[in-house]
Amino acid sequence: MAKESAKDIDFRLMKATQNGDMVAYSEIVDRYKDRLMHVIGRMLSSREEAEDIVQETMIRVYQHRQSFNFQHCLSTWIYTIGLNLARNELRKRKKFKFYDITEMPGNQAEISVEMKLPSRLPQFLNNAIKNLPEKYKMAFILRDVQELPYEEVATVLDVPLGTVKSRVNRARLMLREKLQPRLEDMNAVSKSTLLPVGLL
Amino acid sequence: MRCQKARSFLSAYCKNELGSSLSSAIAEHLSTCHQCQKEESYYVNIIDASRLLPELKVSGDFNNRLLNRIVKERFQETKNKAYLPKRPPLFSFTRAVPVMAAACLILVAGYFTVLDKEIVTAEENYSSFENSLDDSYLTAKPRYSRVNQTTSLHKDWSFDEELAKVSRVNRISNLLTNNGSGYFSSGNTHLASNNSRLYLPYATSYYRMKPVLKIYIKTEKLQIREDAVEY
Repeated sequence: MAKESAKDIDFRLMKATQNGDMVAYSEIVDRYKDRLMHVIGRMLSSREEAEDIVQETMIRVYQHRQSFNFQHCLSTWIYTIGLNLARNELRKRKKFKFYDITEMPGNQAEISVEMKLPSRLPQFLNNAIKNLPEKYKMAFILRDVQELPYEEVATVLDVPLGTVKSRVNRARLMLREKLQPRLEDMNAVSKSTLLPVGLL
Repeated sequence: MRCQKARSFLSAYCKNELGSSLSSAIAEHLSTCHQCQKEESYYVNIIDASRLLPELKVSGDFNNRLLNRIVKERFQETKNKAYLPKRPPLFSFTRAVPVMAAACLILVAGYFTVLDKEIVTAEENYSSFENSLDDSYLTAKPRYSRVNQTTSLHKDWSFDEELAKVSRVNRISNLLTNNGSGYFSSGNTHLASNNSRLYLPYATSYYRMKPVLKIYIKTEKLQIREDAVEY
């Protein structure tokens, strides 16, 4: 028997949710809550706000479950709802300050775990992502952090496929330019200590 | 392939997003160009680091809070939709249209009515102006005439007494007016009920009327005494 794909699982759960199965809905929530938090948490300034948006997204998914179109992916639908809500929130507050994981309260345990990792490069990368312009940042997070296909990113951001590819490429180039001095330092240390850059 | 072109595809190359022919062309270039190899190593490090970015997770009681909220909203939805009658909206287009149409009709009707009234008023004003020039005052009648007044007779009423009273009044009147063609002329006796004629504000020469006294006497059958009509 062929293994059920993620899309098939989503559709099965969504059909069950449409028939009033709350267990299936809980499963959808479990599948998407952290992924959504990973994206929206980088858009908003505080953890509570991001969690509220994720909760609101899940509520909308439940409320409008009957209007879901099975010709599209469930993940696309959920990301679109979440990002639209996050954008509305930012527009309301006129505050486009992006989330800095080092400043986020209540996330110290995860940071401490992260700091125990040998490389400091993810932290530098996180700071560099924070300073990207919004449109490049969203494209980069969805494509390289969430690893969504280009087509899905285009649907979520509601821009043409070529634009998404261009934005992702541009974001990588900007990150490379920002991180180049640190990467050169790391390469130098790597040569002297014979340790790979990933461990520095 | 030149370095500039190869570098434009390097990030996609590192993510294996390129087609096979382009990918092999870049690989061939990288095998000979050290600068581009260095660039490639930067992109590889960034891509590896992006996979190691700290994951943000929702708090532990997220599911409970979410389900509580859904339960609350479902309860509200059930309460609103199933048990309570739906409140009609305060303003609805379908209801507003006939109301607006009726209001327009009333306004139009009112406008024309006022317009007609204004025309009539103007005519009335003109006619009243004309009427104000008439000589109706020459034929003015007393305001409180008792000529056609019916008097119910009390039981002590006596025809002879009344006749005597009227004769007395007639005599006094003749004395006052000092001519025989007055109101109470002697040749044709009419019965007047009192002497208020003495204080008439009008000159007697202008006053022409014939008072008639009709006397009804209550009997078993209502009948008029013919002889009394003469007076």
